[in-house]
Amino acid sequence: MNENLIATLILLVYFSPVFYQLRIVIKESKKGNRIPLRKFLKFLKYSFLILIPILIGFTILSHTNFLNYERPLTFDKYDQITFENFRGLEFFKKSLYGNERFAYVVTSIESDINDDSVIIQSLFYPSRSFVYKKNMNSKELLNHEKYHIKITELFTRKAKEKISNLNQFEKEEIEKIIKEIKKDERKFQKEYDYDTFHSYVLSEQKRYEKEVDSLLNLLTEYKKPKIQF
Amino acid sequence: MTRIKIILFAALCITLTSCKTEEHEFPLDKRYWDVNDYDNVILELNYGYESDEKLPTFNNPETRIIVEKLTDQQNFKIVLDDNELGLKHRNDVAEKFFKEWRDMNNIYDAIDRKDQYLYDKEMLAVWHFGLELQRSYFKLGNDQIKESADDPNTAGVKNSINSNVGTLIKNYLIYLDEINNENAFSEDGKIAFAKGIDIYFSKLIELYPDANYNGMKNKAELMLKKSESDKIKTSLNKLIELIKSKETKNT
Repeated sequence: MNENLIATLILLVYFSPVFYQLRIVIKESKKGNRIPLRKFLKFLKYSFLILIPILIGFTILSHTNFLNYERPLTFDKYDQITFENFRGLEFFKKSLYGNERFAYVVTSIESDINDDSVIIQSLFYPSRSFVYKKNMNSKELLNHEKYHIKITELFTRKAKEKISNLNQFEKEEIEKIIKEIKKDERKFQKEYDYDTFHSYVLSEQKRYEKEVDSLLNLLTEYKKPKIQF
Repeated sequence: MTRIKIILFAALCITLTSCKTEEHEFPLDKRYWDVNDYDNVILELNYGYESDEKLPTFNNPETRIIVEKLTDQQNFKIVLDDNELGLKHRNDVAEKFFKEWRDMNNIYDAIDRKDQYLYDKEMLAVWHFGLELQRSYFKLGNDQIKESADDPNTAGVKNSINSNVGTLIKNYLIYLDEINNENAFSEDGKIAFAKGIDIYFSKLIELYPDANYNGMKNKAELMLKKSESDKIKTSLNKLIELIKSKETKNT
């Protein structure tokens, strides 16, 4: 069934008492009776007062599933990540290019700049990452999603390499490096999805895996999150 | 009475929200179409259009993208040429694509009252898609026969492979049959047809240089006498010369 149709039906049923009151208002206003109008406004007010928190709650859960929450994971937990960790809820997107068997992963580069040190680490957000079925048996899809996490870690290490090469502690310069790296990381993630077409093109997937793994190995010395000046 | 009004209002809302602006839908934002996409698209193109409704064509800038996507050979090559994928899997996909292609042939085969093809360029693009697909499909099939055989050099295995190649050549000959309908093509269509011979028949002979092309040569010679198009004649002559050159090498 059309999703717009379902939403309209729900809203129609929900607002049916309001519509009923509106009908009475129109009918009574011709007779000069203003009481139904007050009643109608009251109905309208309470309808929205109930609806708005529901919608807010719905949006929050869609962003982060607090009903099944798991704290963001750092890269050292990489090997333990399975689809069981993909706890996010998806209310709006039902398929990816017509394929209902899809997943996505949410990662980020988090930084904390102190007086003489910087902490940068890549995070994977289980409660914001989604898979259509938790117990699904697709190593390929999991592998594809997990390489998104590796790519974030790769760019985190790149940032640490650049910051470590600075002659002195410069907060503005560090912020600039992190900002640039975040931009590059997003671009790379998009290219990865485009070239592999979300793991459909296996030869491209393998090419990326080799590239990312070798680059990560080259930057092993930047594994630790903290850079001390 | 008022209840009826409410019901009518609700029905109106439902109707308005479920109205679709696009009459025909195609997954145009998808980079590669898979077998399922082809299934849906072919169904739409074969049965979703009114008999007097114009199908997507290369000449129409609005619908060009549809026929380009439909005949984009990358859609199957991205799977069939991917050596990271297993041979059986690729063979299965090739078989499914081949089935889809057979249904694709009915999309653009309409002729007008003067027996002219209405969509000759599009029909030929579908043909070319099929010729390239079959070359890959049969090669994968033969590779699988070799792989699953205890000894790929036995006479039995060689016979199976030769038989497959023979079938492939016969399938290619059906393309040459279209020369019998030469007058149904526009001038641009004849050029595209000749190009098809140049590209795909050469590729086939390059892939199986030792196969028996006597039937193809005879057919090309007969069609050479029949054709009135210089472009097609030139392509047929090139094909005959190519087969002869391979025969000389093999003797």
